Parts: sequence; C-alpha cells; structure tokens
Amino acid sequence: MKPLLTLLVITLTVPIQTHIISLFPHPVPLDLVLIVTYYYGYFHGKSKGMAIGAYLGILTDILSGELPGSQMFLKTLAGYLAAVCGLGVLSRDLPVHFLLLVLFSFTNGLLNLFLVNLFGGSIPVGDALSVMIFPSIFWNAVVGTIFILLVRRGSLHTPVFSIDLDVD
Amino acid sequence: MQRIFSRFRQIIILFVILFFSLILMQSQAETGKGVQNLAGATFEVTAWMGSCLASVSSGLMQFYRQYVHLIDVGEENRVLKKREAYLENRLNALREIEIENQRLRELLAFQESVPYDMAPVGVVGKDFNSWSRTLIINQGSRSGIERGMAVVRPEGVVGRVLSVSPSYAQVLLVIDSNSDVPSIFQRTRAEGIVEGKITSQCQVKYLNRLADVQREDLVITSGLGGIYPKGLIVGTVHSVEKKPYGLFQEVTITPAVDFSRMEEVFVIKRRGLAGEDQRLRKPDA
Repeated sequence: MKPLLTLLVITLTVPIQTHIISLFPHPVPLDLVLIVTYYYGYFHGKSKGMAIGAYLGILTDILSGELPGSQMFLKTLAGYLAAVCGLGVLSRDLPVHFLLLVLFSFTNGLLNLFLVNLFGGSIPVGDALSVMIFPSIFWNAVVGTIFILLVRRGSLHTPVFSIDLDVD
Repeated sequence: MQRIFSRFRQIIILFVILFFSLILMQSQAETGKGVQNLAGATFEVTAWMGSCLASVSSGLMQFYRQYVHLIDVGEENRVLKKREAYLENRLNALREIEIENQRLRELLAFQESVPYDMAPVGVVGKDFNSWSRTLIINQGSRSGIERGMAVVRPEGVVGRVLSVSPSYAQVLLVIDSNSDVPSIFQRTRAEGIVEGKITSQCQVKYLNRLADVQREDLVITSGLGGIYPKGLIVGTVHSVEKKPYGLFQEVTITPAVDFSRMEEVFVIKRRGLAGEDQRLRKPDA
C-alpha cells in the first residue's frame, strides 16, 4: 500500500508543475521533477533515483510536448548522479544541497538545450540561458533546499552511512 | 556472466534507460510520432488530477482570503466585514459576469464572422515552466477534437492540438520552439516559416534576404501545410536584421495573441472548413 501511495504522491509532481505553478501571476521556471529526482537519488540510492527519474521524466515528456525521451534521459542521469553524490562523497549540510542543486540545474539545462538542438530544434543559446537556465537555477536551488529542509528535518546531521542506501 | 551483471547491475540499467531515451528522441526526430500512443491515457489521468488540484488550491486560497484575515477582529467589526465582504463578493461576481458576458459576446461575434466550423473550448491548464509552451483545454476526442487541428482566438493564431485524450487535449502554442506555421507577410506576400522562440516572441525562418519587410508589417498564415487556414493573423514584425552574409534575413515577430491571458479558445474542426480551404482540401468537390 505504501509504495502505491508514494507513487501517487510522486506522480502528483507533474500536474502540480503544470497546473498549480502556472496559476502564479508570474510563472516561474521551477523544475519540481528535478528536485524530487535529486531528493530520491541523494537520500535513497541509485536504484530509486534512477527509477523515479525515469518515471517522472517519461511522464513529463508525454505531458509537456517536449522532445520525447529528453526528460527521461536527463532525469534518469540526474537520479543516478545524485545517488553518487549521496554515497558519502559530500556531507549532508544544506549549503551543499544548495550548491548541488545549482550544479544539477545548470547541467540539466545545458544538456536539455543540447538534446533539443541536436534532434531538430533551434533554440538560441543566449535566449535559453537568460530565459530558462539561469532563472531555473535560482528557483530550483532555493525551492529544492527548502524542500529538503522540510522533508529531512531532524535527520540532516545523521552520519552519512546510517541511512539504508541500496548499494550492493 | 551473472556475476558481472549483478556487480554492474545499476550502471547497466542506467545505460539501458539512457539508450532507450535516445531511441525515443531519434524516433521523434525521424517520424514525428514519438510517444503519442502513450500520451492519451496518461494525459487523461494526470490532466484530471491537475484539474482537481487546481480546484482544491483555488478553494484553499479563497478560504484563506475570506476567513483567516477576520479571526482577530471584534464581533461588530466581524459582522460588518462579513457584510462588506459579501457585498464586495456580489459586486465582484456581477463585474465578473459582466466581463464574461462581454468576452463571450466578442467570441460569439468572432465565431459567426469566420467561415470555419469552430468549437469554443475552455483553457484548464498552462505549461509555461518547462521548455515547452503548451495549454490544456477541457475538450477531447469525445467532442470531436483531433490531433493537428488549429486553435485560434479572435486576435489570431494560438497553436495546434498536440495530443488528445477523451476529455482533454493539449495545445502546442505558436511560441513553442517545435511549432512551425507557414506564413506570408500581408503587405509584400513574402513567404516564410514562423517558428517559436523560447521567449514570448517568434522568428521567421527561410525568409529571402531580398524580401521587403518592415517593422509593424502584419504576418498571416499562408494556408500551406494543411493545418492553419489561410489568412489568420500570426503577429506583427518586431525587428528585422540583415546580416552581411547568408541567404536569409532574421525577422522577429510579436504574436497577436497574449498567451498569458487566455480563458477560452476556438478549435477549428477540419471537416467543417469552408470556402477556400475546403476547396484546397477537396479539389474534386
């Protein structure tokens, strides 16, 4: 029952992004899917990070009209790399999460731009940086850090290897 | 072999998923079909969830506005404020009805003034946050909406239907970078393809550098390509740039439609096309 409930809550990420955030007076380029994938990758290991990334990525691809497969590619990779970062390479302090989210958002944006332009799109790099990538870095890092603070409150300073990471 | 697989299981799975994603992207680039077959069912479920979420969130916001601010005031003040709030709400409701009435009258007049069979639909969601620019409308295949149908407003072209589920449809806006609208400049009849940029403007591609184009020139659909009927307004020229080299000039246009303020749009149904476009589609008729 719990996995199904978790799946439902995770699935809500996509409609929240497409319906709720768009109701704001000035829509923000916030990538909730990246934040959730990062969270699962970092705190729950490679398998869950990749699975959540692939699932939310393909869902975003289907629903957003973007290049099919691009978000699946990016979010699976993000889930895996977040898990690698979570395997004790880095501490669990909030500033580290902030910096990692900045790095993940920037890389995600650049790779997305590269994939879209590689497969037939023609988005100018300057426009992509100023309109999408830089604003999304700010929003993802701020909202993602607050999200992690709220979700992991009380467990941020636990030793790195005390959480049940699914490493082999 | 099994030991190798179990040792590198996660990295193998990662590469399999990445490879599958690349195949999907390549498939979309070659055929333009991509994951359309999956879209219908998934889209129906998540669009429904999104509509419910939007209703709940707007209800909560309304609750917050109406009640939370009144908690700490005195009894008399509370009664007066309630009364004032009630009257204000009534007044706002009347204003909203008046504005809606005016808007619907304009839409009705537009619907009657054009020779196409159009279905008015409501906008229930917008996705301006990711790299795409799409809308979700509240009618789908049950109402006769099909993939590829043009979506318009009285001001001009909005986009085309990208995917359809029984009750909802997703509209790709003309400002999306995947959108191509065959167009002509009304004054000089020069032809080009209007393509979305990631900003709120569009660019005209493949426009001959010798073509006479000036600021404020009107750009309309050319009718080529079979999606958009001829003569619909796309936008006006915002800037023209001719580089000292190259075959084409760079023209940026401002769309006629304000995409941030859309509550209703029209879907042009293919079978109902009249006049020139119908003749174009059925040369034997």
